[in-house]
Amino acid sequence: MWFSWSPVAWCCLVSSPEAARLSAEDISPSSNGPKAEPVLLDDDPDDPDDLFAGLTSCESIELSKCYQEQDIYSYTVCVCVCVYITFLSILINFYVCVCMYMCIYIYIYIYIYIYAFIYLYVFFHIYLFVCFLFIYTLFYIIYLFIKIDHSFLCICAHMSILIVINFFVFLGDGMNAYMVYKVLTKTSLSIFSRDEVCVKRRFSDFLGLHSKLASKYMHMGYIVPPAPEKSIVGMTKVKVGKEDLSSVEFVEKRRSALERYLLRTVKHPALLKDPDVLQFLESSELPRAVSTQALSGAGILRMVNKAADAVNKMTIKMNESDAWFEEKQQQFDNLDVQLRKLHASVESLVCHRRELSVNTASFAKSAAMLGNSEDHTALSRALSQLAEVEEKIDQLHQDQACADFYLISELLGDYVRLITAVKGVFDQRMKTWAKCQDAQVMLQRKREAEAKLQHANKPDKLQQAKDEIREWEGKVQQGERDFEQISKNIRREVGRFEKDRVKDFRVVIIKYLESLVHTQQQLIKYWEAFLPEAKAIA
Amino acid sequence: FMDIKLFDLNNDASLVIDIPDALCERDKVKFTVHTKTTLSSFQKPEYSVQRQHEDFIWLHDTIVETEEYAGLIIPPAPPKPDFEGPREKMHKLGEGESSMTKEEYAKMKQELEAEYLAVFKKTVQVHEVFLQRLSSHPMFRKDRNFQIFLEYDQDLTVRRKNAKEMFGGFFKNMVKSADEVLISGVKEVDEFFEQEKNFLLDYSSKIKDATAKAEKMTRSHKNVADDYNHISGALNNIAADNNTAFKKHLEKCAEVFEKLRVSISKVEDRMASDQELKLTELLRYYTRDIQAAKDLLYRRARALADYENSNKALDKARLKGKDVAQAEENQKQCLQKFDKLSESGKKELTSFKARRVVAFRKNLIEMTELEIKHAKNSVSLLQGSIEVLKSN
Repeated sequence: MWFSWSPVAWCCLVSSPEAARLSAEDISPSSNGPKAEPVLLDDDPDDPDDLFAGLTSCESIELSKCYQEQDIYSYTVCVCVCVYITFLSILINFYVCVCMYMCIYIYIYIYIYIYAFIYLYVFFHIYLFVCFLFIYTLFYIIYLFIKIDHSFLCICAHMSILIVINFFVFLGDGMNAYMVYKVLTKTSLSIFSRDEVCVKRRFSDFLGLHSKLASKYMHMGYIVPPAPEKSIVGMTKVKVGKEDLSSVEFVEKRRSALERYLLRTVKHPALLKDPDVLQFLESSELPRAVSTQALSGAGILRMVNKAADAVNKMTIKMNESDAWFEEKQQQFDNLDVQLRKLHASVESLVCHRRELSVNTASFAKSAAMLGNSEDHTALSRALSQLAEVEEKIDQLHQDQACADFYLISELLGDYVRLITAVKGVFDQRMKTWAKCQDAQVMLQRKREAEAKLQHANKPDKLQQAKDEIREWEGKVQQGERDFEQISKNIRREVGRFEKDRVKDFRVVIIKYLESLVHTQQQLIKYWEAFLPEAKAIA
Repeated sequence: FMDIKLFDLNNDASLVIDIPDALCERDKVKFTVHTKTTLSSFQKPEYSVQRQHEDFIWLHDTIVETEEYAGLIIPPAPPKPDFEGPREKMHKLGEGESSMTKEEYAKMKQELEAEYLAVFKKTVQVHEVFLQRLSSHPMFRKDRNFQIFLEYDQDLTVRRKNAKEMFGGFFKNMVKSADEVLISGVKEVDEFFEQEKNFLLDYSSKIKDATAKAEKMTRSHKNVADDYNHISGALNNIAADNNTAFKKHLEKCAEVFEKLRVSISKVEDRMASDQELKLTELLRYYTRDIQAAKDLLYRRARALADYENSNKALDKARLKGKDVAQAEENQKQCLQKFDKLSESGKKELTSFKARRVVAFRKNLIEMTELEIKHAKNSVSLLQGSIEVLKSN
């Protein structure tokens, strides 16, 4: 239990990126009862000095929820210890007093030693009380320290849940092969049945979860985080069994994207309590989400719906009564454009930096050869050293490119998709408004029909018309209530989204700048090591 | 801009040349060559003339064709000024003017001007170095053509090579390379020259390779710097655009990002261009210089082949019994020429090696020091920005 007080160390232990080797021999032929044998690829050489190095896979403590020791637990421990000491002290007190009593009995007359006894008894109690007060205070301070320590490590935590995706394997064979991810949830929340759950999920399960949540909550105005995208090209390459760099990267990209997706989902207070989410995280068997396949009936229906939505968006002209919404819509449109531009720039940066590292490596080789053919010994040595420095720099550039990519580029991609989800929520509101308007139009029509019937004097149809009017009045009221509700929800969601967004960005940018600082400091180290060599050329 | 001289050649005050100014008119660059001299062979103690790039090439070619200088390493001709890069960028800027904001446009224009200036300075330096090497060499500085180049205050109006001469030149080059192959098979008597030949052949291919790779590396580095520019511009836009409750906080962020643009992208740019100047330029220059040394060896080998041919002719004449005196005379001349070339060649090659080592040392040290300086700069700026962001 003491161990769990250091969540950072624990995170590192669990979440060091261990990936499965994608070789055919390790694939078990049967698809039910998967015998997952995680085999290890070349581990990323994480710098052992950097505690936070292993945390890129769980998207840093700031974005995930930390496992914070429950206040109750540490408080209980303190109280118990204090109570124990109190009893001990009373015992000691009693024995001491008896001793004193004995001593005084020997030397003083009876009436005096009663007073003395009382006096000493009271005195000792006060003394001990003061001592214990001091001890209690000490324990309370220690307890506070632990709490502060936690919140120092967990910069944002108020919830206590941590999700890590780890250990993925390949099951099935050939083109039917699929990846299975082990999802580990560690939590102290009461809505979960256990503290620690580990389940196996497929990619289609994640998509299924997202579609269920979207259908339940989007129309209420909640921003449901979007799931990672399908990629046929990537998966096919991986399935074919190529172990080259791009398929390893693809697998790692997908794993971290799924992790971020789950973390974002549970960050949302309403989604966390959703039974579908709980089932996803906890139950060992999950019904196959067949409807997420592109060519299934549900998939085609989805595409049709999407097309219909696009058409609707163009035709619905909402007269916006609330300036806040109009402003926000404009803002999100701008943000979308700018984020996409930024994303494109960052991707170009990643690409160029990779190129730079490749070119630096080839220059290093060429400089080494030049050094070999140089006949002046000191110059030759200096050139070989230069080649070594350049090689180290190339490795540095490669690492920086990885950081560029995993820190910023992926985050931007996530946010571009999130903004699309936000715009979708605004569209839902528009649809609700349209429905409300339609209901009002219908009500108007029914009223006109009723008025007409009243003139024509048909009593039975009149009753029916009145019923219909009541029904439609109810619908109009419901529609207006829905509209109110969705507007309120959206306001709250957008507020939460903006706060999260600013926080996320700030944190990521700080982390990125720190990685840049680290790179530059390494550069300085390498060049400073080279300088005396260069000066030594006679 | 840093001092980008590869050599310190103006130590001798009797003939001091520099190029203080240059004008760029569309395609042509007009250099102002300024000479200060105390030598009596010059008419005036100080000159200032206008020369074009073609004039430099003419000077180089005439020196190469002079028989007397066959035993010397002739300083390589400066490469043609290449404004292709900036010109392309200017074109792109002109096209994209409508789609960019005013600030972006101004920023890009500034960058473009800086790049143009860099290329300009580089080409001026290369031409200057060429003249300075000629002036510091005891034999070249006495050359009549060199004097004319420095003195003649009218336009040199160097006759452009007409088609026949161009073709002739091309053909000569082909013959030369074929000869080189033949001559590298000729048995070398002298140990020193044998070593030098092997070394130079090997070294020239390696240095050409290194130059190409260094150029590619510098180009990617510049691309990365460019990207950082765009990224910080985009970040700026995002931060500036928000008018939410976080406005004050985001304004501060915008400041930080502007500073970041300076720290990251400008520093990366500086690093890339300094690396280019010191390392890539050094390698480029020495590729050309090694070629000139190889040319010297080629000429000597040619003289050796001539000497051997004259020997064979003498033997044949002795056998036949006629024209013996002429053949003997011929042989003696060839021997003399060969000996002269060998002697001066040895001197030149030794001093060339010393020069090369010194230049490499100087430039490697300077490059390392600059890289360290820029990296330290960047670290302090980045850390400052991190502090500001964290304190929000």
